[in-house]
Amino acid sequence: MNRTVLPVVVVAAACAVLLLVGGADGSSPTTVPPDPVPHADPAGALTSSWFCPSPQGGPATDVAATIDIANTTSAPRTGTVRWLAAATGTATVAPFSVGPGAVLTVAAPPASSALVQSTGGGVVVEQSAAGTTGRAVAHCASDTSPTWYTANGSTLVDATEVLSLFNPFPSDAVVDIEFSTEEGREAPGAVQGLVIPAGRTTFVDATATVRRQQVTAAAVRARTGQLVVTRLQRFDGSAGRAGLSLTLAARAAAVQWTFPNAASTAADVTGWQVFNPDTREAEVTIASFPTSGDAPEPIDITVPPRSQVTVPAARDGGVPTGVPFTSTVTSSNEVPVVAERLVDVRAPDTHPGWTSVLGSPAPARRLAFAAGDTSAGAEQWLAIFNPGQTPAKVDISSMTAAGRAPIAALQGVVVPPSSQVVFRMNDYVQAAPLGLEIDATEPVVVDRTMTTIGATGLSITAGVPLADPG
Amino acid sequence: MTATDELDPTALALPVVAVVVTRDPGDWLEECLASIGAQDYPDLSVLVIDAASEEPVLPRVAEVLPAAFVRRLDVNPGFGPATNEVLGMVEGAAFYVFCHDDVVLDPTVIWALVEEAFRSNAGVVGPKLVMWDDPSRLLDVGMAADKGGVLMPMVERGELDQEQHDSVRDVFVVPGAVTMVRSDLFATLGGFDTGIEIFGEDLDLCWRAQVAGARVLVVPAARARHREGLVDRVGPDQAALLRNRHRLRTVLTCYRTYHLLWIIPQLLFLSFAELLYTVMTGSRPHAHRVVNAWWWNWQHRGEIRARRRVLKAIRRFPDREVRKLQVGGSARITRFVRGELAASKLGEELEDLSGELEDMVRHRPRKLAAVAWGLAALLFVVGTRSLLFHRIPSVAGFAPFDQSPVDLLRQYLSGWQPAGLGSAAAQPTAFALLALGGSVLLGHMGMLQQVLVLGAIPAGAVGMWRLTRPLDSPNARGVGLLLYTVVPLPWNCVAHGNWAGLILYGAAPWLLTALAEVAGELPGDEAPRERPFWAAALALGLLLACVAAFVPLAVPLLLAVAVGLTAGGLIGGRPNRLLGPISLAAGASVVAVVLHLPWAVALALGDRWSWAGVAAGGVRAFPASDLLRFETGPVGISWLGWSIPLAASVVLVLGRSWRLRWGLRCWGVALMSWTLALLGGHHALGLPPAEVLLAPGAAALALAGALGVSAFELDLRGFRFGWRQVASIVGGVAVVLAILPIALDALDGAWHLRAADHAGSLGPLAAQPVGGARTLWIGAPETLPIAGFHLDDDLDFALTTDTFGGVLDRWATSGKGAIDVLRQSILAAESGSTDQLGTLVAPFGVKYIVLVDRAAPERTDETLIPVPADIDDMAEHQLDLRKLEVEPALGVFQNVAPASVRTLHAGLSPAAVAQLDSPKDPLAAALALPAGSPVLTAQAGRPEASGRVGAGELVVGSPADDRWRVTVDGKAQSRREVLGWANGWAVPAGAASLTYETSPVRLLVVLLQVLAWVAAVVLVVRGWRRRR
Repeated sequence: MNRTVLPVVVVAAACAVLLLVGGADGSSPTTVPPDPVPHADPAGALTSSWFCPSPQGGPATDVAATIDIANTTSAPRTGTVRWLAAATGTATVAPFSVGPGAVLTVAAPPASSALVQSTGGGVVVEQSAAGTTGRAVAHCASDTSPTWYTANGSTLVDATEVLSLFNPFPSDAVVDIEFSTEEGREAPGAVQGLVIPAGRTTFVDATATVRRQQVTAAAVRARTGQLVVTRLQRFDGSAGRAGLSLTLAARAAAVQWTFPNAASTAADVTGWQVFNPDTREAEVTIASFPTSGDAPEPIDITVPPRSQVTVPAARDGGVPTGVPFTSTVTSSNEVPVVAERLVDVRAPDTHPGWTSVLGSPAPARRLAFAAGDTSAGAEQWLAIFNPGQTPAKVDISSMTAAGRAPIAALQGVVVPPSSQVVFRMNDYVQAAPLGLEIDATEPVVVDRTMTTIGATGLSITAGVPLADPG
Repeated sequence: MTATDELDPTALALPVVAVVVTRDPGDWLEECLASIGAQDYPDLSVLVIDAASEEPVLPRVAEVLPAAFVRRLDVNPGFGPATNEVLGMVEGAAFYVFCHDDVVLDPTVIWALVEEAFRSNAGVVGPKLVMWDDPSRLLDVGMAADKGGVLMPMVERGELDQEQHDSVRDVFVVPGAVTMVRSDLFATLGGFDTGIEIFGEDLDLCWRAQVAGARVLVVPAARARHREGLVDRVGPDQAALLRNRHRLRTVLTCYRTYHLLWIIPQLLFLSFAELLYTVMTGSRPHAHRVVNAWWWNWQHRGEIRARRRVLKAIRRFPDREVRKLQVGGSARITRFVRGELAASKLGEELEDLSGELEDMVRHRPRKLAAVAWGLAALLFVVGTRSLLFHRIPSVAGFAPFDQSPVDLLRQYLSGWQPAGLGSAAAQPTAFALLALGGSVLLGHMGMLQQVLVLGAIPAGAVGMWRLTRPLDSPNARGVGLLLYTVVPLPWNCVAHGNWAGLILYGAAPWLLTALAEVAGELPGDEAPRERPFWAAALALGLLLACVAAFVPLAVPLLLAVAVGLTAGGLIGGRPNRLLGPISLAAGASVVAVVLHLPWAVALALGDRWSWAGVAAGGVRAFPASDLLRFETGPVGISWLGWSIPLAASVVLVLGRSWRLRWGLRCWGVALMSWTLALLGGHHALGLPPAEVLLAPGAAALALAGALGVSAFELDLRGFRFGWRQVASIVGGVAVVLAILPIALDALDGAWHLRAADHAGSLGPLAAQPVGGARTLWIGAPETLPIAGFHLDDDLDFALTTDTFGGVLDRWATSGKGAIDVLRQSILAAESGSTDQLGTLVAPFGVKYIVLVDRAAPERTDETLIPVPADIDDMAEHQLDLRKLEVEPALGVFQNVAPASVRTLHAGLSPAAVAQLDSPKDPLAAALALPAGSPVLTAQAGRPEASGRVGAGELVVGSPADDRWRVTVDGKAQSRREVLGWANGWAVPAGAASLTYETSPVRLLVVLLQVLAWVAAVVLVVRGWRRRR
């Protein structure tokens, strides 16, 4: 190669290297899907906020509401409960202080939603509604969202269904609500472009909006702003079923939902409601894991886009009655769905009531409950399901107004793989309010079932995941 | 006295005398007098002064207003002097209302004027003037004036009156048609200037009234029709002549001596320019007026001296206070630029220029060079026609030049730099340079921005012409110039608002020229006398210092260019002065750093992102193929963009001897540029925008293209027809093709830079009284309006004072200390650790948080670089942020937590004070701090402030510094650090004053820096003269 050509080759080679090395960056940002259910902020968080939409709206103004604040950390937590009047948004601020491992119950003013703000994380908040048809406990929300979904609900003649739409922000939110019933999709004009003014709560009486439907799944989508949605469902007993159910809607759909089952009797009428808010068809498998006997064959269903499907537990004769069991609802084609489990217990059972509850989208090593009751007249069960392949060792502690105390008999409890254990908590501790903290060596799913002895009242709630320490 | 008596307006009304001066009036006089007679003001007397009308007006007055007094003068002394008769004739009046005889007042005018004069404690008030024939059209609602006394109407003449200007406001002048003056003030002023018969007496009276401490107000609730018959009576030319004379007389009277020393040269310069223009346009009467104004005032210098003495005795306001009431810049130039004076002449001038160019091409031997120049000029003028003489939109790095030279100079001398949260860091030298530039342009900061932004392009072209001079070939120089003009780089800088890139584009050929000179081997048309190394380093260092004032990274970039040059020389083999360019670049860098002391130290100690200087952003990652074509924006057509590297590669295949060796050097520089630009795509490296790094490469490739022509001229002769000839043809075609995309994009007129900017979008917010608050911007660096601070890999955040920042915000300060706390606050919210970001940033005075997706509004098609979803989601989740719908490209959130830079927290518990003083965690302390009240908000945007405060803890959201002082009722208060980063004082209730005390050392350092610059300039000029 002569002296003239060599420099040219060097320059050309350098350009070629640049072109090869400097290709366009094709990476695109990834987004993390929102957590469908509440979770406690890490203890080291600067602040923690919980949102409790008032259950006292529409035709359900006769219920009494309280909130329970549990401090799962080893340091005291202070903060404020900002009660925002549903109609006016007028704020009443009440400071609070909760000791380490303690639980605090605060009565709600009439028709007011609560914004609970604490310094630091590790706080769990639940709210209760009590009326003539029983008592219901539900999570408060740890996050707001522009979308909320419920998979169940009923507007038949014996039913009252109210959606509470709480906007805790200083800006207005505008939402569209769509219902999916057995007769198809409905988007009533009255709930399209519905303005939820800043700081206020709007109650949507589904009974009046979507009349006489056996099942109503609801999708609340905000055009602007964010909010929190709960559903209050009540049956007056005139058609057999009776009870009060309060449920925080799901912020997002998920590909799997797990439902441990604390108690089951021969009188149970149970099943699942699966709502597909997506625009694609969902292929869903429902699997059950009874505490005794053989597992039935999984049930495969197809949920059309933006539709809901009801699956009775007795379908195909698969689920045994009277046996506690854990079930999973899994979308096999990865189209996320929202699933609720319905439990309808009727007299002459000693624990009558009706509830419909969201499952847990993911297991966790640490979980907690804020509101609980094992005092006289109340009964509480805890169901722990280990979905993994390794035995999980579980420690359970109680949290009362006095603070945290490990329950001696419930330390080092072993939960075998793919199995569930159930405890009647009244046998271990009697207190109200009674918070619980569950520490496991493997990720588990936990449900708490609360009933009222001798009266109507059934409430099932999944444990709130806590951040792993450290 | 009963309540009814107290409210009786008659009992409250003070005596007012309306003075109507008339001379040979038309039939409008009766209407004028009737309107005065119809006034609802209870204690109004009327005095009509007949200024020697041929036919006495007494009978006409008696018929309409029998109660009016009439005084007839034997001679007509003019409006002002005639009006002064009132001083000798009237006693006991509280106000005089001076009227022309061709006005008609609404019935409530006198009441409204008196009422407002009392309410606002004004000395001179005037009504809204509307057209005589169509009262729905406005004439004047008060007037502003510039430093030369040139009046600027506050409304557009003939504008439909929709009550859009109906707010009482301070003005500089109320037109003399109807003027109400407090009688004691009028007496103190000695009435109107007797040397001003007509035209200009209103300016003179109002100016002197303001010097004497009186307010001048326009009261639009009072309305008067004005016939404007005076101009008809004297003729427009005479009116203009008198206005010019009297304006200058007023200026010479009202300013103090030392201020005049500053103003007179400016006025002389403007007059000279005006004279030049009028001579060129053949407007002799206009020229006569300009000269006459000075001559007439020279003749009356004795009177002016006497009047200055009188005014001195009653002066209560210094000139600097009066200047604040005037508009900045020159009203005449503004009018000229707006086309009011000679828009129609512009086309003719361009036509002349075109003729000259044609002549040059046809009859001069160097046709190609002439064509290249013509094409370059055409591309510039056509391509930037929508930007020339218009406000440059505040997109990305195009900061609005919103500070006057005096303010910039004051800022340069101050020890406190306001950018970001503010810091005690040394001031950028650029403030002084901009102040100097602004002064040279007589305070026209908008023009200075045009020069510094758009002027970089012709500067680059001239630099390229100079760089190719040693080639001694007009054709080669023409091609070099053409290639440098059609490279898309500068035009994309305009499109993206990349000022730093433009500056480097303008400077790169000049920097290369110096390096090329020391590298040697280029033949040159005449060998320059050898310069000692220190002289070369000093000259290059001075140039580098000027560039680095705006783009600090130019210093290391020059070293990189020298390395590229040397590496290219090595490939070519046997370079004579291998290390010459590197040594010179190093020497020049030392000079530049020394000239920028102490700012250079502050930069070195700051974070590396501040090195990017003006609008730190623009570190978008480009594929190498885009970089090799210099296509970093909308200008350019991808495949045609390869024409430039293709044309530049001709020298590599045709060149021999020094042409090949220099071609390789050029390619060495280009490769260095491309490599740096490729690395610069990684934000974490903190390199400036790709355009900055590519500028030397573009200059080097243009030089390579010119060398290709030299090779064609010198080296191709030795070869028979073959591939070399084909290569030369390809090179020629490539040069022509390279022109096409730029020519097409030039048709846009603004290189895709749209007039809309975020400042306009945020206008409605800016109109709200923010006072002492800041705006927090979050976005990709190239979308932010100012230099920001690093937030994470892809994002920066920036702070502006009030809503939109200005030129002072363009220079990033240290990203440490308090900024770190702010960064942690944002990151805490981003990580979900809190949903109370508003409360966290309230102590920093952050009133608005703006998430930026584009450097300009959506409709401009500016590149979309969306804020990551998690940041958007974070903002949406904050419970104390209210989302505002402003513009799709902006996510604007208003902080509902009380936010102010200066906040008073009253009634804090001892525990709260203790946490304020010694917070374990600044973020937790901010969250725990009870909401305070904004105080001292009047002087937003300046470190100094004053006003009343209550007792409590005063927190100033600027980084803690012991030179902050607070006094309350004159007593100094003890400062301490609060919140871990801010300044705090426990203050009693009273009149508070907040100041920053600049260290005397700072002033000493400034003096040394100025001396260093002067010395450098003197030495370089001397050296240059010696070489010549």
